[in-house]
Amino acid sequence: MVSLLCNPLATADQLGSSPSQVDGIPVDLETSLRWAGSELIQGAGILLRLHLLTFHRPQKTVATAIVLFQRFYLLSSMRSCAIIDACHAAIFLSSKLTEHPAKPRDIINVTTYLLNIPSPLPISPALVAGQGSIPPKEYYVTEQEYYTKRACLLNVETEILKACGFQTHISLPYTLCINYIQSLSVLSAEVVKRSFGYLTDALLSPSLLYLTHQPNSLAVAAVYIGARECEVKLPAAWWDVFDCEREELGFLVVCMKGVKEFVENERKLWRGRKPSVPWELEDLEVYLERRRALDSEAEV
Amino acid sequence: MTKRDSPGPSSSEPPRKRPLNTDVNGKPRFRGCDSIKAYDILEKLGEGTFGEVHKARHRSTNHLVALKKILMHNAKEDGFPITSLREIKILKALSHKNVIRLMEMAVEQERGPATRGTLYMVFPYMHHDLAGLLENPDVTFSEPQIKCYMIQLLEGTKYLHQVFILNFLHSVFDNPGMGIGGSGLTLGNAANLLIDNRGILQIADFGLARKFEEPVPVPGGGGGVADRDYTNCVVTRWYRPPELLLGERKYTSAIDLWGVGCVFAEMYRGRPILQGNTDMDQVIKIFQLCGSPTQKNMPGFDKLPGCEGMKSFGPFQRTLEGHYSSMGSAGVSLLSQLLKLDPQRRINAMDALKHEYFATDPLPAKPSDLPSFEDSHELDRKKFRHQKAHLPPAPAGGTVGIGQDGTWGWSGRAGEVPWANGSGAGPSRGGRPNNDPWANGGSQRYGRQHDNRLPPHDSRVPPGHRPGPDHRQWSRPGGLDHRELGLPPRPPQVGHMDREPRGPPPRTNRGNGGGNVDTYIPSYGVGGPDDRRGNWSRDWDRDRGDRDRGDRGDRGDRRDRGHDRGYNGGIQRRSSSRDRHREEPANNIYRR
Repeated sequence: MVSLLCNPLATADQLGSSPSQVDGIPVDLETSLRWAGSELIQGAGILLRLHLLTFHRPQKTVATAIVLFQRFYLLSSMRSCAIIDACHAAIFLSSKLTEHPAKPRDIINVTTYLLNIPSPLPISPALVAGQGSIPPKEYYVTEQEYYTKRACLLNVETEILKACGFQTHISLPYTLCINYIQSLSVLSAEVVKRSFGYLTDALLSPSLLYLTHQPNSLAVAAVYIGARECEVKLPAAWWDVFDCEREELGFLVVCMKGVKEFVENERKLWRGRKPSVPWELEDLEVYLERRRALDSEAEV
Repeated sequence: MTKRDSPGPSSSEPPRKRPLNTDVNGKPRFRGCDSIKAYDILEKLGEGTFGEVHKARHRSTNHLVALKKILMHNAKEDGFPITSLREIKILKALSHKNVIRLMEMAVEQERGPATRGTLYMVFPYMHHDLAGLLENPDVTFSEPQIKCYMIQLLEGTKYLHQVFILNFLHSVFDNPGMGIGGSGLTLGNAANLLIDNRGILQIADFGLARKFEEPVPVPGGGGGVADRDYTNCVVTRWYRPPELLLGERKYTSAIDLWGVGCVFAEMYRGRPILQGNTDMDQVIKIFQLCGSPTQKNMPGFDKLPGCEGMKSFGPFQRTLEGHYSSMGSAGVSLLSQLLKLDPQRRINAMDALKHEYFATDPLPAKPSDLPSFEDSHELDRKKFRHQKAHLPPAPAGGTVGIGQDGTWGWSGRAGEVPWANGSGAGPSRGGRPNNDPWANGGSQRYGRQHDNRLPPHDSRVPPGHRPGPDHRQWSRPGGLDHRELGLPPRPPQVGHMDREPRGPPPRTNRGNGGGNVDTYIPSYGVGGPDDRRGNWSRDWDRDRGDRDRGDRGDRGDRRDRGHDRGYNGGIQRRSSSRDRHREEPANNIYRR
């Protein structure tokens, strides 16, 4: 029996020893790769119009995909399954789970496009001044590439399902957030917008907030920050009503506010860097090898 | 998982010691998905378009389970089937004693970890499904037993509807095309109702939800013989409510209650009650049972897409009360409320549970009191079918009911029903062999003496697949009435449910009494005039009684007259004297 309002949460043990770390991936790299994958899913979701289709539940498909992606790497190593394939599979699976199926071909085209042309997305190549338009050849997916990638996508889809024990119900805080704002009688477009913004930020948090906190707490924290920034006054200790303790709220607020800085740092770290984020398994191994070489040099 | 062919882990790093999907203690990091190797597969329980089901035993716990294989019809394009995703998601969100429990998923790896493998859903093993149980010649349902199953079925339905309204209301907003009922719940199809030897009934198979989201196929296009592969779709069709068959897109949870009604009557009859072999044939069969649709009993029916080009259906007279009088007055009343053409007025699960039927003697049995039977599954039907395969066929000719099919109904004119010209059909007496395997139970002997028109029990295969005579009798459960041969069909009786009871109709008309609900029609299929007269006078008495009390007619004071009454209608209709019925042992509550 799965509760409909709660999510299964990651245990301390799972967080402390993720399969990727056990498999020899440095913690900071794992964090970066999780961030990069989530950014890619968010960007691809926007280009696939998935965030618009689910109008009454903004972000539903995208957020579900990111949570699936994050859960998956708590149960599987990044060295056994490429980030790019996991992103594809998470979007594909999530689009089916939220009843807006996207085609594998569209998903693959969109991610290839995003990773090859300059865009506001921090993981896309930086726009170089004076550079002309990118020739379509750069982001064209050949038939051969497509078939290979689709095979990977479909394999990883099953891997995700198996890893999660087919527990595909993901409860998201967006609707709860609206409910809370309404029940506090402070409904205004500005408060909702800011709160939603923080909920979406939280998807990228290095603390994996969606895997460690229940949706009601996330919603409370988002409403707290949103109302505060709009200078809307809320009753004292209102979060108690929504089953969120003060300490938890405090932690979540700090995490959500910290996402901006985290993303800035990651962007600086990766933007325009060669080699870029190791999306494929081969890239990852090359990256790890170089890093080991650097580390041993430093030791000497 | 992708192959790790390129730069593998270099020798400098520690080798991987244990699989990544287990934790430090060697336990799985996440439970819910097991290897198929954890199970010993014992035997096949069923198969069809929905997949294969195997019986298996868990090696370490020794629990018996049913493994349902997930078919990847179009795995290259669509990946994991969205229907299975829905079904799993729904099942995992449910917890009720009358709803099947998904224990876990099992994976069968075929060729190394690079392939996706085959996936199975693991359910607790249930000894029977309702369809199999009804086909089992050793099993007869007593009335307390039927009531017990009905209560459980309705409890399960009630739970599902409550949960689904809570759970899926938002998805209804998100997806305007999808109703609450369409969120995954389709009831009906007795093969999906599982029963164990503790008497517990569970609703299974939520994967058919998809079917209801698709547009209903265009009627009238059907050829003669149904394709074998479609058997399962056909079975589902038999439990579809009229509004779906006519193409309603905005359906509600009431669609499930129609299925419950079909199963309810099926438990008395021993076979599906409405076996259409095309969608339009199904609609016609429904209207033959419930009467032609009118603005009163099914408002707005003519606006439904399936009615395009159809001026009217029928005219058909309502025969439900007549055919199912054996269910007793309370039973018929519940049935007629479940099989209401208008979904808005169809009774819901909560109200159905409060129906007087469950408070009438004989009271429902407790699940623990029910007898246990030999395991019966849908697949076993082949076994039973074989038993009767060598029975002589009913003699051709001698039909007494051709006229009905030939002159009325869609089936006669569309040419899609191979047996429509009635050759060899009809309730020819003696046509039914007496060594019917159904009749070997002691409690059934009585019924057989009086009714050698006993229908074959084997009727789950769509009629197109079987020789005509068998089906023909069954498609008209009450038997064809030769009296109708010489009579023109009566015009549709608009709103007869609400009409004031009349006096006894003129003698020439009485054969059509089925159209008048207030007239309780045990005589509908009665063989001889004497018999009918008796019944008529009694009906007339009762009619008056009902009217005097301002009763609604199809329920009310008939209850206290007991169920012995109920048995002179559809079943022992050939007995020539009413006294015979009175002599019936009080415990003769079996359905034959």
